[in-house]
Amino acid sequence: MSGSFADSADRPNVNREAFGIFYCRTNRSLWAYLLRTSGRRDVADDLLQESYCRFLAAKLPEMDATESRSYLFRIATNLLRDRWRREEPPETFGASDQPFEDDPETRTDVRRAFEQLKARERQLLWLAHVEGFDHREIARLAGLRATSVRVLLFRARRKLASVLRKRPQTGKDGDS
Amino acid sequence: MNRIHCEREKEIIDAMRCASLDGELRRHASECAICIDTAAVSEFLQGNRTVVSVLPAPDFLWWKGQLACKQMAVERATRSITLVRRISYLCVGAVMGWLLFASGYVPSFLNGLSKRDIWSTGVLGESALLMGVAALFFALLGCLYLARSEE
Repeated sequence: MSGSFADSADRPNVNREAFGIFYCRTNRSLWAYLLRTSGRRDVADDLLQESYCRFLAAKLPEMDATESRSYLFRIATNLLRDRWRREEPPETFGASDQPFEDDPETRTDVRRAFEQLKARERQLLWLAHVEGFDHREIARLAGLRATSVRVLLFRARRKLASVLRKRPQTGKDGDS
Repeated sequence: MNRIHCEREKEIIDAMRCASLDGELRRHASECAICIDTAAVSEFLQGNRTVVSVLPAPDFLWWKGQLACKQMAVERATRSITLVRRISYLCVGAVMGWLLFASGYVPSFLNGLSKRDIWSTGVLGESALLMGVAALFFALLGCLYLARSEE
């Protein structure tokens, strides 16, 4: 899905311009992933910066655009996991977190459905359905076995789908 | 049989990420119990993937990244110094402990000192030997450190 930036400028971790291009291509999706998974805007902001800093500081071999993106998401996922080790993962979004405050279009919708999922479930669903990673990649990112990812994804998907089936349809839901 | 996976699941996800399902995939998604959920969840998440936010400028992150690089380089460079220093402390501690408790050197030294016959007992010669060995040992550690830095 991500185009190859390697044609114009490679090695985003050593070349400033290449990093700019890489950053513009990945920042929104990474931030959305961190926000939707952590459920907290401040955590998403912190981890976004930390992820790119670690990406830049890492001594990486030659990578294409897809591999670099995958590596970046792996860093972010590890950082999320570290944070969950230090403090309890948010099983549901806190009422005061208001992660979708600036996103009124999706606020009600996402909250209603996502609040009922665990952090790990949100993470797996987002990586599979939005970022398009396959089970093997997700397993590598999340530190799980591919077979476990398959089972966990199935459960999470069934849970979310059942919530989505139950939710009242609004005008905005139908357009996507 | 309880199925938890469909072979066309990834195809459906990819299609929905790009645009929407074509006729054949749509038909499959409406018939397969797994893919019904897959399509519903994909549609929902795709509709919510865009978030409004103010993100830092790439130059700022580049600058932060360079700082992190420098910090890591300093940490790497001083790691061996710290290691050698710790080993030295340990060695000094061990030698001191040995001198004080195991060898009986210090009591005999003090004894000799009180009798003022340290020259005749050869204690000074022993201590010179010990200091020489210690100096050689630390010189060896220093060489190891320098060799490692060269690498």
